[in-house]
Parts: sequence; structure tokens; C-alpha cells
Amino acid sequence: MERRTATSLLGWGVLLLFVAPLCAGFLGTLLPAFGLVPGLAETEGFSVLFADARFWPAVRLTLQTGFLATALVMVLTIVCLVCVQRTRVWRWVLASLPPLLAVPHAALAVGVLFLITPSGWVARVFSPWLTGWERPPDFWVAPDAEGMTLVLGLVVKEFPFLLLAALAQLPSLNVEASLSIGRTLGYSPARCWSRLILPQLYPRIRSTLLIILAFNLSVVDMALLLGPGNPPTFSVFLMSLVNDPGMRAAASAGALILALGVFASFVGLYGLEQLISLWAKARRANGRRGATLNRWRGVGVGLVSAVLLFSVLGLVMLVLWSFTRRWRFPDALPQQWSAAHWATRSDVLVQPLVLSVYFAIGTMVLAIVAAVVWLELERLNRVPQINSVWFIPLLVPQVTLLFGWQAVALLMGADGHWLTVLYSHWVYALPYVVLILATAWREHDPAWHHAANTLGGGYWRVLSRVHMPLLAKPLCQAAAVALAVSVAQYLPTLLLGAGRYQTLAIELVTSFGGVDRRVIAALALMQSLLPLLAFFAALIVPWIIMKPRARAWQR
Amino acid sequence: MRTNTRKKTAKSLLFSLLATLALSLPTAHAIEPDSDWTAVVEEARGQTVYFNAWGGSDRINSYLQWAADNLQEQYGVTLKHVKVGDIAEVVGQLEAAKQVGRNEDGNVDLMWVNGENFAAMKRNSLTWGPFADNLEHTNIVKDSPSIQFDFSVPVDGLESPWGGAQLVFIHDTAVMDEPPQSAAELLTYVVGGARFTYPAPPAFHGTTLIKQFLIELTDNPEALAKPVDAATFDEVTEPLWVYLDTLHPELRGKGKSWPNSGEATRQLLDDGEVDIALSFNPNEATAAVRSGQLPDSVRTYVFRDGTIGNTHFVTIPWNASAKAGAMVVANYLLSPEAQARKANPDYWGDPTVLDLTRLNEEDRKAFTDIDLGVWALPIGSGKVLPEPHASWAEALEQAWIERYGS
Amino acid sequence: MATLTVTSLSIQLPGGQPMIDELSFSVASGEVLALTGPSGSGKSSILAWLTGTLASNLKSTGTATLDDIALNPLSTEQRHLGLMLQQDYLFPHMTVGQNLLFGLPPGVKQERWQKVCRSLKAAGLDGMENRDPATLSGGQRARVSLLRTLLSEPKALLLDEPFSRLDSDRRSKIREFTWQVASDLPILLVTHDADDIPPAAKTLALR
Repeated sequence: MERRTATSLLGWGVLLLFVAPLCAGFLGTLLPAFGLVPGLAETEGFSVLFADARFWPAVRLTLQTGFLATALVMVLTIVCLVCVQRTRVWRWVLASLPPLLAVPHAALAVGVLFLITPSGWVARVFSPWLTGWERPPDFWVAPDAEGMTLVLGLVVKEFPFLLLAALAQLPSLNVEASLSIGRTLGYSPARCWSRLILPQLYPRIRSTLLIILAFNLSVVDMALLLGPGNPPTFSVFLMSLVNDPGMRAAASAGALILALGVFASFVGLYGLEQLISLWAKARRANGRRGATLNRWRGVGVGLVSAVLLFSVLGLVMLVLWSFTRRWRFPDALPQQWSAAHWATRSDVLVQPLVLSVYFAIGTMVLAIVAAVVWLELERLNRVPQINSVWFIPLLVPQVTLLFGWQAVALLMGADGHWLTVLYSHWVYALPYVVLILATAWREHDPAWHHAANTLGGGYWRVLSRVHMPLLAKPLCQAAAVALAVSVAQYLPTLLLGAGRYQTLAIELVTSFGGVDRRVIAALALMQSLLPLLAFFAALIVPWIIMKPRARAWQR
Repeated sequence: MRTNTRKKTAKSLLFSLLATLALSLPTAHAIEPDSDWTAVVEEARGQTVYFNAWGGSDRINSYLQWAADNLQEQYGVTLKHVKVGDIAEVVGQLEAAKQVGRNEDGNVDLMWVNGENFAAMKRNSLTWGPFADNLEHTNIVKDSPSIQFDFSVPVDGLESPWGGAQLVFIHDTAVMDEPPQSAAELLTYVVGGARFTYPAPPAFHGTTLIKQFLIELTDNPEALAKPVDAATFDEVTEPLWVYLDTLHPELRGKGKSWPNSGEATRQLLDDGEVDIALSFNPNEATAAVRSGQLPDSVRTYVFRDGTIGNTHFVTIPWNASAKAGAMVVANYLLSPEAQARKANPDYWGDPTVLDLTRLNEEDRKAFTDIDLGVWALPIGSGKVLPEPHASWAEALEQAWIERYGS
Repeated sequence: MATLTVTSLSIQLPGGQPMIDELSFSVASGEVLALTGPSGSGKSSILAWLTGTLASNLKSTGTATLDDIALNPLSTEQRHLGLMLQQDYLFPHMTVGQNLLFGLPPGVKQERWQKVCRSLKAAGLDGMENRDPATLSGGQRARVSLLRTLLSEPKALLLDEPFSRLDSDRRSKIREFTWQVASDLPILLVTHDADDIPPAAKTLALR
């Protein structure tokens, strides 16, 4: 009985460690917003915020980019499912998803920018032979004032995320049979999707879409790299306030408004969903079959390929620029190559890399341990199954939680400490780790456990010899995701680290404006390679672990 | 009434939290700004100095890394460069720390400042004390008004000079052989199709450029040497806004999107997206050409009647954890060894604050041997205009953001 | 008189071995042709080939005509073949009535709805048009599924073991129901249960 209590306390301890900073962060934003923290914020911040000339333009810009990007991600995912499945491109799409998911936002943003500026690679490839441009054109700029560059970056990054979420749900939807039945009833494939599959798929990917919408409305690092500066998006505007001591209240008020805005957007999306659903229901059984439009299928395949190709080319740009000495418009490839900056600039490259690796490994280990403890106790019925709590950090804007967390850390004197930074990475990585492992843990056949127990293995023996190796694959995947999340963390590292921890994410964003493009490329490349290597390892390691055991069993 | 009670509860909660924490803080250091230098060096050994300095240039970052290696070797001081985007943010953090009473064990030991940021720190007593006059190398520093007065604000030893700077323009002779020589000419060029843009204030290249425009355009130049007077601000600055209203629609990005730093304009120059880049370092072009970031055909120049120049400094916040270490770093940054490397475009190319006549032969040679190259601003060619009073920067930035930044 | 004719159908596995070799047959209206054989003999692949949904890694040659119209160049949705699979695949997000409307060609709203109600009534499913398919019994679902197929006015019916999931009691009723309502169509029946095959049917055994 006592041991039971002690172990369930361990589980609750894990949950408390996870929830405490979320609560503290929320309070740390709420109280200053109303001017309730002496020394930090003594008057309410809303009036100052509303009086700022940048407020409304920033709000407008954020809604515009956030919703447009989310809508495009949704459309692209549908187009991809409808048009690209069962074409030759499909294999490439599937192969490209995991690495593209692994690449951090900031690194991908840098790659995208290298492609689309007037002097970027796309313009270079077609100049001057096709376009006649001897100098870069001047009728667009990137980043642009309307935030379209940011939208592009967000779409390129989030599309694989939603597509993967959708793909995970398709097996339970009888897609093949629905398509066969629908098509033999005379419906075009597009109509089969819109009338038969999407209405069933949408509710299952809604939570992922909400995470994407929340992210698009509140992202900071990508908006700093790709978004317009005057006015900036709302989160970036808040970032410019938070370090101004007189503005803490206003920044906190803004962070609350952002959270409310994101929540209102969820409600708005729900309303929109209901409207579309009403409209679709009325049409669904009207019997109209739709024309077979193979041309549109080609357009869809082209669109999806273009977006994915864009991401891949962005990564190629990072490699090219990091080995460039001279490369001017309009040459399609560098005039002079050099690997010299990798050596001469090693001082600015190695330290961030080492620091990122430290945080990533720490986060990975702690997140896996915490998730395994929680899920194992959940399996043993010592703690209840709770799913919604883990979604909080993914749905509440980072700005909202971290402004408050920073304020609390400041008051406690804990800001600028590596433990605080590691803690924040852990909080942001844990949800993904738990969600990935939960599926495997809960579906894992208890018969294995019983069988092993009957054979006389103790709990720990069974856990380490049977349970863990059988779950090696999801464990490795979760570890790789934890590492990728840590490597990508910009805001927590910046706000809680008091700028002291120059990880790759921080180095890349802070120094983007001024630094040597070749060094930027090298930084972004390293930031991409870390998670890519981790995902690669996640494929290899379970194979190595399982192989000797499998052989032993065969004997 | 009820909200009041709630407020009080929250306040008392936080206070008790703070009090507990304050008790756990270590005791104060014995070092004072005027402590004996050998005692300072002694105390500094083993300390870690967090130096908050703008981190937007990898060359500067590399230079500081070099300095860190030498400091470790020569003084046993560990220098950590905390890279910041805008030092004003750090000033803000210090103000916040002051307000919550964090008077010890601060996060910042040394910081790179000048102008309005120094003025703000001095006004709010965020600096530690007159440590600069106590440094070993203070006697080889130039006697120059811009070192004694930082944007018209008396320095009083609260910050130690680090380097000189002047607003310069870089142009590509292959594209534009005879660049504009004044604000007025620049406008004519840009309207005529030349490609130009500048970083949006408060990025300091942008702020400096609009100060430069203001100096050239205003009918009332004397007002700029004095603190901003709200009553005459509009009148003094009117010609500037008229000028910018005409200039902006002709800029790259149509006055709606802006590069985020001076360095970014240099990159745009190399890309061919602009014809003129801004820099605050007369030798930046040389460095950039040598490292393959600008074409051989670029040259550096200043407007016919000169451009704004100033000195930048380092200072120690009142709550620094490693004050002795910070003093040793500030002193090392003034050493002929460190200043000569800093003046060399291969590493940084920032003009020195040392008076070369006060150096011995060998040290002086380290400076005169530096090859600045044809790409840098020719020595003696650039007339230096004084900075307006420190208060102008913020006032101009505010006005600019209100007009063009939203 | 519609006739479904298959001429010289060959299907090869990815390795190159033949799965179906030079198979020819034809089914006229009112006729039932039963395809029997062990699993893996390619019964279902023939149906997939006919509907144009054969897996892309299987190579096939041969021609199919329906009413003297070549099916091969047509896309699945243009072939007018009614398909019934082992499961009923009633769409869970639509009511019974909507499932049937889905099969029906477009037209005037009220007329379509009346048609649906009439067909339900004829099938002994009176008043079930607003039910959720999940609340129906297996036999009822099978009937609705068949009605949905027939309402789409197919020119031939392809049945892939459509009765295998039903208990034996219901199975015979549904069989009778099927032969009765689809009596004017060519029917191709894939099955491994000899009881499924009506007495008048031709049988083609695959190996």
C-alpha cells in the first residue's frame, strides 16, 4: 500500500514539474498585465498597449499571416492527399516528410530566404538568359511588408506536419474502399475525397490544425527572420516591449491579448468549420458526380512537389552558401568555393554547437525518463490517463507563457541559469515525447508482460529486458523528436537564459541581420544536421538493438 | 475595495518571496571603482565576466573570442561575450533589476554602450562608478572631446572608451562612379533610379543616418547640441520629414520594408539590390573585400561636408557580479595589443582611441604597419561632425516610428 | 441486352509470374457468372481490373467491353459497374437515406427523396431513411448497401464475396433479395462458398 502511494506520488511529481511553470508563467503574465507586481509592473498595461501606434497594424498583420498560412497548409494537405497519392511522386513525398519535420524553423527560414529574395537562387537560375536581368529585379523584396515571405516559410514548414498527422489517421478510414465504392458509383476521385473521406478525416486532424494555427499566430523566430519589421507581427512587437522596463505591463497585457486572440481564433475556426460542414452536408448527397479532371491532378502534383522541392532546395542553399567564397548575382553557382570559414570561424560555430548538443541531450534524457515514468505508472493504474494537459504548451502561445516565466525567474533570481533553460526545453519537449510514446505504450500488448512475468522475471527485469526493447522504436523516435525540439528552441533560451546561452537557435536569429551569409548558412546547416542525425539514429538504433535478440529467439 | 485587497495579497506574496531570496544572496565584493590596481587584478583572477555586447558581426565576435583567450592567459579572467541585438534591451533589463532591488549578483558585468543608452544609464544610476580613470591604460588614451563627452553627456569616468566610429558610405564603382555627396544629392540620385535603403530606426545605422540628414537639412542646427525641447522639436525637424516623405517611396522596398542592420545593407550591395551601403566603420569595406564579401570595385567615402562620428565605450553596471574582472577586461581592451588588432581591418578595422604619440616605438609601429587598403575611407578625408545631444536619438526614433513604422 | 465481355485477360505479379493467364468470358443480362477458386487465385484482381483500380505493381493485358463499349480507356467512375465488397461500407457520416441519395443520380430534390423512400420500402426497410447506419443490423446494412449500388443505375454488377460476413440465416435471404432486384443485370460473383451460387449460374473455377 505504501509503495503504491510512493510510486503514484512520483507520477504526480512529474506532472507537477510540468504544470508548475505553466501556471507560474500564466500568473507571471497575468499579474504584471494588470500592474499588480511591485517593482516590475505597477500600472496596468492595456492602455499603454492600445495607445501604441504599432498595435493595430501588428494585429492585422498577424491575423493575415497566421490565417493565410494555416489555410494554405490545410489546402496543400488536401491537395496532396487527393492528387498525389498513387502517383510516382508519392514515394518522394513520403521520404521527404521526416527530414523536413526535423529541420528547425529558423534554419529552414534562412534557406527559404536564400531562394526567394530578388537576388536569391530562383532569380539567379533564370537570369539573365530567361529574364534578361543583369542585376536583381527591384519590384519585390523579401522579407516583404505584407508578410507573404513569412507565410511562405510557415507553409513550407507546417505542411509536412499536417500531412503526417493526416497520414497517420488514414488507415482507420478505409480510404481505398471508400474510393472504390465512390468511384464505381460514378464519383470523381476529388468528389470521393470531399464527400466521403474529408468529413471523416477532419475531426481527427483538428487538434493538429489548432496547434498549427496557434503557432502561426504567435511564432517569434521565423517572424524575426522572414516577417516584416515595421510594423512587425504581434509577437515580435511584444518582444520589443518586454525588455523595456517601463513596458513590462504593456508586454504582459499584449501576451494576454495574444493568448485570448489565439483562443478566439480557435472559436472562429470552429464556427467556420460548422458553416462549411452545413454547406457540405447539404451538397453531399445531391448526386452530382463531378468531372474527372486529370489536368487538375497534374496541377496538384506540381504544387505539392514545388513546395517540397522548395524546402529541400532551401537546405541545399545552406550547404552551397556555407562553402562559398564569392557568389554574386546572376551566377547560378558560386564563382569561388571555400571551406575556409568552417575553419576560420570555428570560434563562432563550435561553441553554439556544443551548447546546443548539451541542452538537447539533457532535454532528451529528462523528457524520456519523465514520459516513461508517467506512462508506466499510468499502465499500472497509479495515475489516471490525462491527455489534454500535455497539449497546453503547444496551444498557448510561447510568448504568453514565457513572458510570465521570465518574470518569475527574474523575481527568483533564477534567470540566466542553465537549469532554468534546460527546464524550459524539457517542458516544450515533453508533450511530444508523451504523445508519441503514449500510443505505443497503450497499444502495447499486455500479454508480453504477463508472459514475461509468468516466466519469473521481476518488475525491473521485465521492464528493461522485455518492455523497453520491444518499444525501442517509439522510444528512439521520441528521443529524436525531443532533441529536435530542444535544438529549435529560440524564445525559451533567449528569455530565460538572459542571453547567456548562445545556442545555434539564438546565434542564428540574433546574428542574422549582420553576419557573413556564409557563416549564417553554416550555423543553419548545423542546426539542421543535429536533428537529422538524430532521426537517422532513431531508424538505425532499434534495428541494432532488436537484431541479436531476434536471432537468439530464432535459435 | 476588493480589488485593492487582492492587489495587496499579491504584493505581499511577492515581497515575502523576494525577501527570502534576498537573504540567500552572497555578500558584496570589496572592490571599489578606485581600488588599488594590483588589488583589482588580484581579485579578478578566476572571475567570469559576462560582456553584453552587440553580436551582429561575426568579425567582432571573433575579435572578442581572441580577447577572451588572451585575458584567460594573461589575467586568469574568463570573458563571456553575451551577444545582444540592441544594447537598449540590456539597459532595460538593468532598470528592471534596479526596480526589483537586485543590487548584487547581476547578469551583466560589462557592456558596450554609448550615446542615448549611456545617458539613460547615467540618469538612472545604473553605472557602477568612475572606474575608467583608474585603469592602467587610461594615460595612453586620446584627449578628445568625443571621449570626454558622449553625445554631449559628460562621461565622468563612468565608461571607458573602446573605439571610434564614423558614418561612412560604401559604393560600387562598377555601378556608380560618382556617388552623391550630400543628403540633397542622395535624394536626386534615388529619385533618378539609384537603389538605396537604410535600416529602420531604432537600428543605430538608421538612427544615425536620419540624424545626419537632420544636421544637413535643419534651419536650426544649434538646437541639436542641446537636449530636445518639445516646444521646438516639430519646427526643427520639419525639413527632415519633408525630405523622408519624398525619399521613402523611391527606396528599395518602397519605404515599407527595411533591412535590419547596416551590415545587411553591405550584403545587399554585394547582391546588387542597393547601390550604396551604410557602415559605421571606415575600414569595413577593406575587411569585406578581403574576406570575399564585397567586390574589388567598392570604395568608401563620406559626404562632402562630413558625417557624424562618435566614440563607443564599455561600462560596468552597479550590480555587476565580477566588477574587478570587468575592470581588467576594460583595461585590456585599451591595451596597445588589443587596440592594434582592433584597428586592423583583417580582424575588425575600428579606429583606435589611443594617442599614438604616447606609445613606445614598437607599439606605435603595430598601428602604422596596418594596411588599410584602397577600399577603406582614405585617412584624413572624412570630416567628422559631432553627434547631436543624446536625447535626440530617442525623440527622432519615436517620431520616425510614428510616421513610418506602423 | 447488356453483356459484359472479357477477352484474353492476363495479369502478372510483380515478379513476372502469371496470376491470370489468357482468361476470356462473357456474362449477359440476367446471367450470373460465379468466379471461384482458392485465395490468391486472382478472383478479386479480376474485379479490380474491371473497375480500373488494379494495384499499379500488377501488369495486365486484355480487353473488357460492356454494351459493346470498351471499358479499358474509361476511368473507374465512367464504367458504370456496380461494386459490392465483403463489407457494406455504408458511410458513417451520412444517414441511411443520405447513403442512398449518394448513389442516386442528380435530379429534383423531392423526387430523389421519394425514390429513396420507395426503394427502402420495397426492401422491407420502411421508415429507416433517417437512421444512423451504425444502428442497423448486418442484414439491413447489406440491403442498404445493395440498394445504394443499384440506385446508381449500373450496367453490370460485380460482387466480391458480399455475403461472407453475414450469418447463415440472413445470408440466404439477402442472396434471394440480390438475385431478385438485380435480375436484369449481368452479374459477376466472386465467392468461395458454393451455397452462394444460384442454380442457374455459370461457374468459372480459377486455380
